Parts: sequence; C-alpha cells; structure tokens
Amino acid sequence: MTTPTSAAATRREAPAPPGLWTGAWRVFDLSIGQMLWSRRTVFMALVVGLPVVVALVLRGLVIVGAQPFRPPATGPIVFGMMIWGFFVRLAVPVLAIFYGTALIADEVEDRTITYLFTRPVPRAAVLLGKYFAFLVCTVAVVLPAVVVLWLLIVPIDGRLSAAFPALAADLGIVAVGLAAYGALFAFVGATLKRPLLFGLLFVFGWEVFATALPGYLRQLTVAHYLQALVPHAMPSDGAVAMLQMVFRDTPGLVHSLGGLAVITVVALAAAARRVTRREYVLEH
Amino acid sequence: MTPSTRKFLFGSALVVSAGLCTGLVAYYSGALPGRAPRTEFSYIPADVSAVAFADVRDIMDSEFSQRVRDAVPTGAEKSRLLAETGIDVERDIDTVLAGISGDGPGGPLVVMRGRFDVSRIEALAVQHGARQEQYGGRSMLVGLSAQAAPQAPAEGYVPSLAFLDDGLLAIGDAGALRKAIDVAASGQDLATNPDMMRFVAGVQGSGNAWLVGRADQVARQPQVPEQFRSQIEAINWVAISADIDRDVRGMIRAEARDEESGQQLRTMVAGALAAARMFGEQDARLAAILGAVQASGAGRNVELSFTVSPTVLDLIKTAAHPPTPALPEPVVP
Amino acid sequence: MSPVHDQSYRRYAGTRRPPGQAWMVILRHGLRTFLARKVFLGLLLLAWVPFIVRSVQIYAVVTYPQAAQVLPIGPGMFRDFVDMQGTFAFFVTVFVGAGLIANDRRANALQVYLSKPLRRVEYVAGKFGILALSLTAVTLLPAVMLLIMQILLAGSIDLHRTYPGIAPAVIIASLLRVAVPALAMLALSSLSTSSRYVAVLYAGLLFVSEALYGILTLVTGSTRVAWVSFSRNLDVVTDALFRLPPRYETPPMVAWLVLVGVAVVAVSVLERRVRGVEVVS
Repeated sequence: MTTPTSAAATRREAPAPPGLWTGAWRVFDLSIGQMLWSRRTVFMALVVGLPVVVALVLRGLVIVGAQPFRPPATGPIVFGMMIWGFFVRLAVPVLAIFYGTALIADEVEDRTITYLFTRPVPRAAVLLGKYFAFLVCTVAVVLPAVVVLWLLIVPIDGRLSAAFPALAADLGIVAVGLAAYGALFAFVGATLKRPLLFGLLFVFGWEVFATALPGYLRQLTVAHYLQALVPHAMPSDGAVAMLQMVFRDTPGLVHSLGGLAVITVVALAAAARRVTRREYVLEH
Repeated sequence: MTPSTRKFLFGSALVVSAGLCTGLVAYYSGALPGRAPRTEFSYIPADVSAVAFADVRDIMDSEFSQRVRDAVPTGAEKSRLLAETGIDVERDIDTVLAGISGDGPGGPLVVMRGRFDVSRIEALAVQHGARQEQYGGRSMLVGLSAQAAPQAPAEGYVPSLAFLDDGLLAIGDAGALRKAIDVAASGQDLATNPDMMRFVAGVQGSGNAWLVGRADQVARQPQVPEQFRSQIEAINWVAISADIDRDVRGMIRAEARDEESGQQLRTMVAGALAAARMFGEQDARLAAILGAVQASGAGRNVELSFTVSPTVLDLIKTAAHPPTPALPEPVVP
Repeated sequence: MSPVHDQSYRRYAGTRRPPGQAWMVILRHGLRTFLARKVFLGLLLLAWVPFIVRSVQIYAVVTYPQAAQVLPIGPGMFRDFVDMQGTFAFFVTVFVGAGLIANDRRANALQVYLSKPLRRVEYVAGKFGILALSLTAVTLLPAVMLLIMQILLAGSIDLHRTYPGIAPAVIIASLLRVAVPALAMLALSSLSTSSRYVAVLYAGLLFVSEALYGILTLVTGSTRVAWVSFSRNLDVVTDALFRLPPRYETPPMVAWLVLVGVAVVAVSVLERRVRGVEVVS
C-alpha cells in the first residue's frame, strides 16, 4: 500500500509532460519511418519516377547518337514542361492530398487515434509531428527526382549553367508547394469525413476553374500563388490553359511567398485547433 | 528514427546537394566566356549596342538556303559588291561579324573572313575612286563608292575597307575602321564587355547565325511606335540565333529588366501564342507554323523557339493560293 | 446477465432465388447506400449543369438562328458535351468506385460474401453495376436527354437526318466512358484494402498518363503518342465515332486496342484478386 507521503514523492519525481514542440518532435520521429516505408512511397515513386525514366530513355537516345527532340524542343524546354506537367500540377497537389488528408483520417480509419491521443502530448503536437514527417518524407523523395531529371535532360541541347537558377527556383517551389498544399489538406483531413474527394475536387475542379476566370476568385486557390513562382513558361495546351494564361495576373515574388506562407500557417493552425477540439467517433 | 530511414534521408540530401553543387559550378564557370572569342572579335569595340554573326559558308551550303534561293533568285546587292570590290559573297566569304553602334554616323562595322584577292580588290576600289591609306599597320581603302557600303550613306559617312589580317577584311565607315584597328591594338574589344559576352557565349555554337543587342537602343529609335516602346523598355537584352540547315531552328531570347517584367513578358508571349494556336487551328498552314513555336524561359528570360521546316516554307509559298475552305458544319437546330 | 445469442450453424430461412440473380442484391444495396449520401447527390446534380447549359444553347439557336454562327448545333456540340461529362465521370468513379471492393477486403467481407450462394462473377457484376449505373447517370443519361431535348426544342429531326450517326455515337461514346473507367477502378479497388489509396492511385494513373502525353508530344512534336493517355484514347475513339476531324494523330484502331487492353487487364486482375480465400504460397 502506498502511503500519502510516498505518493506525493512519486508525483514530484514524474517527468513533466512534453510541450507542443517536444511532443511534435516525438511524433515526427515515430511517423517519418512509418510514412517512408509504406505503400504510399510506392505511389510516390511511380509519380516522380516516371519522368526520370522518360529522361533516362531520352539520355539513352543521345548516347546512341540519336536526336531525341524534335525541334523546337530542347533540354531546358522539356525540363520546364516536366516541372509543370509532372510536379507543379500533379505530384505536389496529389501527394499533398494523399498524405495530408491521411494524417489524421488514417488513424481514425485504423482506430489507432486513441493510442495517440492517450499519450501525454498535446493533440496539436500529434498533427504537427505528422505534418512535418509528411513534409520531410515527400521532400526527400521529390527533390532528388527533380535534380536527377535536371542533370539528365537539360544538357541535351542546353546548358546547365543557364538553367541553374531555374533549378534552384524549382526545388524551392516544390518544397513550398508541398508545405502549403499539405497544410491545407491536413486541415481538410482533420475536418471532413471524406477528405479525399474534397481534395480532388479542389485541385482538379476548383483550382482549374478559378484560375481560368478573371477577377479575385483565383486568390482563393493555392495554385495562383504557387504557379506564379514557376520560372518556366506555362504550357499552352488546350482551351483551359489558354484562359488561364489570358487571365493570369502574376503576383510578385513577395506576394506569392506571402500568400503561400499565410495559407500554410493558417491551415496548420486551424488543423491543430480542429484536432484539439474535435471528438473523433470511431466507426465499427 | 530507424537507421534505414536516416540513411535514406542522408542519401536524398546528398543527391540534392550534389546536383546543386554541379549547377553552381556550371553557373559560375558558364558565366565566363565559354570559348575563346574569334579573332574577328578583337576588332569589335566594347561599346557597340549590337553584334551579329553569320557563318555564310555553312548557310549557303544548306538545303534550306538552296530552297530560299530558288524562291528568291535576285541578288542585286551581291552583284554590286562584286562589281565594286571584286568580293563574291557566296564564293569568297566564310563568316561575317558585324558590330552595330546605336549612336553616331559610324554605322555597322562588318568584319569578313574568307579568301580575298587583295590586289584585285585594291585595283577595283582605286578604279572606283578609293584612295589607299595605311593606318595602324593595316592597309585601308578609303572612300569607296556608296554602293559598296553596308548601309545607306549618312552625313559624314565615308565607306571604306581595311585588310585587318590574313583572310580578314572589314567594311564600314573610315572612322569606324580606324577605331577597330585601335581597339585591336589596345585590347579594349568586345571581350571586355562582360554583359554582351554573356549573351554571345550563350548563342555561340547554337546556330550558324546570331545577333545579340541591347533592347533599349531599339526603343530609342524614333520609328518605334509609342505603345511598342513601353514593351521594349521592359527588356534589357535580346539574343536571336538561327541554325540554318535542312530547316531553320531559331531562338529569340529576351532578358527583361527584372523578374516581374520577365514573368509578365512570358505570360504575354505564351498567351498570344495560345490564342494564335486556338484561332489558327482551322488553318493547316498556320497550325503547322505555330505548332513549331515554343515559348519558354526562366527568371528574367523569355525564350521563343521556332522551326521553319521545308514543308512550312512550301506552305508559305503556296499561301497566295489557299485551298478551297472546308464547308462549315451545317447548322440544324 | 446479458442474453447469449446462438452463433452456431442455422439453416437459411429466407426465400431462395434462382441462381444468377444474387448480384442484384449487391447492386440494390450499393445504390441505396450511395443515394443516401448527400455528397453523391450533389455530384449528380452538378453533373447535370452542362445539360442545362447546352439546352439553353439549343433554345437560343432555335429562337435566334444567327446565334448558330457562334454556338453551332451539330456533331461537334454533342462530342464536346460527352467529353465534358468525362470530368464528372472521373469524380463519380473516384467517389463510388474506390471503396467498392477495397472496403470489403478491409473488413474481410469477401469471404463472407462468397460463402453465400453468390458466385465470384455475380459479386463483381454487382459491384460493377453500382459504379456503371452511377456513371450512366452522369454520362449516358444526360447525353441521351440532350438528344431528346434537341428534337423537342427544334421540333424536327432534321439534325438526325443530316447526321444519322449522332445518336449511336453519343450512346457508344458515353458507354465507353462508363465501362472502361468502371472496370479499371474495380480492378484497382481489388488490389488494396484502403479506398483512399485506390482513389489516389486511380487519379495518379490518369493524370500521370496525361502528363506523359504532354511531354511526349513536346519531345516528338506529334500527337501520335495520344495512346499513352487514358482519357485521350477515349477522345480519339469519340472523334472517330462522331466522324469529326481527329484532334490527335493516333489512329482510332490503336486507341480502341488500348481501351480493350485496359479492360482485359482489369478483368484479369479482378479474376485473380476476387477470391474467397487467399492462398499464400
């Protein structure tokens, strides 16, 4: 039997529960490996690996002496189009939807959220830790793919020296885009019951529609701020792309980065608040 | 974090760092003139506003040039130069480099490399009223008749010719030729203009004809319309290159004043191109031409690449006789 | 004391149905489930907006014939309408299809299903029916309604006399937008236990193929490579069905082959994955 004195001593000796950032770091440490060595990485490898495979084939054609590009395409032009087609418009939003909406929703679906929420860490720390794990995980896979692509494609009828500033910008854009879209979809995942459909509708419905219209509607998209940073010319494929270009008002660097920073911080704060306050009902 | 996760993250960081270091090294070494400048460059002053180059031999031998020649058989200017100086553009000249000054009556300085019969040229020039002169150790023929000049005569313009080196001949204003000889002696040539050389290094080797120039000099010209002037003022530099072979692969590159102007310019070009494609898709000729045009660029740069294939040339030639338009889709509500 | 229910074997006490009709139960139950969801109903409603827009266009042309100069009514309009419905079909496919088999696999319900008097083909047919009917509601149904609306508003069948191929083209092109995506999605759904993973995989495959087409078009300078894109194959076939000038250089036969190939692969995957007991070697 424990005497009141010894119980008080035990209470004094018990370590204080970790704060928000310490808790977030612990969740990050736990989640990063889980995320990296999961089936999702297979999907991510498919999305970012395909352009690298295409680049390898093109490079192979150069090695055997064939002209891989039909004029006027050159290495830097094809690289720019790949950044638009595979990364800015596809990999960044899709990976953010995939991982971002799953940060909390997966735990709810697997009924494991109880174990996380009964730990002595703030609920917001769970979300933040998982969010940073997502960010590190995706950045660690996508950025090397962009670099390898650049090294393979740009030297074909192009110069690495001239294309280097664009590469630096592209790497930054991918990282910033993953952060902004990821935060937004983390909030969506923490709030909605079926976040994935909303994510797809937002990226492939709303953003396409809003950026093709004049006025302020486009400012309610992430693409408006992110695509303004892309240093490559926007592909002019189809009527929607044409409308997007015609009505495109390009915000400046500070405006774009500011917009993305606001989206990231507000969405993350809202997601943390939502996770802290919401009562998750596990379905049987 | 498991060791395998740590290794993966480390490997990923390594790949990105290696790529960035490679790019950084390439960027700083690439900013310097990539290859040794041609000898002709030694005679082009550093303060020219534009410089243009053409590998005449390569162009003349190209299949595309043959097609153009078939289409446009006249060569009055060429014949005049032949009569005046004995220089046959097609046979004697290999390359041409021209330095264009925006200010003063000097006009362009044209430096030609090739095979020149010095005594014949001298004899013909003197016969047409030129006088021989020695300047800086080089032989000059001052006061050629106006027809041999590379541009319409302006006030104070004295068309002249100088034998700069073995197989190297320059045509231009007497003052400009003297300045060129001085520039070669002092070393204050084009290579000392790093801004210009950055662009020259970029276009050299990209084709057999190119031009690099300051856009603001163009904007200053009085004949440029006012609404166009404001667009040009946003551009600092323009570089045009063309590789003329079986077809013509061309590239127009503009460097804007700042990144915002660059972005606006890219948007404008891409928008115009997309609109042209949309409206031109009904016309096979226009669609073929526009299909071979590609806009790109990064940062302050805007690039427009294009190809004029022999097929497109044929289409342009037949543009005067368009095919019967297709019947419009009947409207039956 | 709480009552203890008897969980031991009991004889089936329900009505016996003739074999081959069990898939109807799955279909009915599935449709009822989705029709109870507001999001699904919202999607269906949204998918009918183009029908309203096109109806207004037809009305405008009938009332003001000069409007036909800007908004012509012909095979092109119907082709564009069918194309447009493809966008809504994508979202419906993702919403309805992703969990159809994946959720059963997740809950280990496949064994329960197949332990009943239900054959594998019936199970797949039931699931396929849910998705196919949902897709029909956003593709075939509005397209056919638009054909009818055009006849009603014009008060004549002149358009169909001039273009007798329009109605079959609309029906076949719409059915293609139902059958191929439905089979592909079911196959993907059978590969995983997570509906979210399936949905993203489907979207990823679709958009990756689209991006690949964009790059290959730039590299080769030709649209002959349209066959690499799932949706462009549908466009190529649709152009051929409507007998309109092709938008891509890919021969229709190649596009047909790709679509048939996708369907065959999907059926093969379903055949392998939909089993009562997974044999682990």
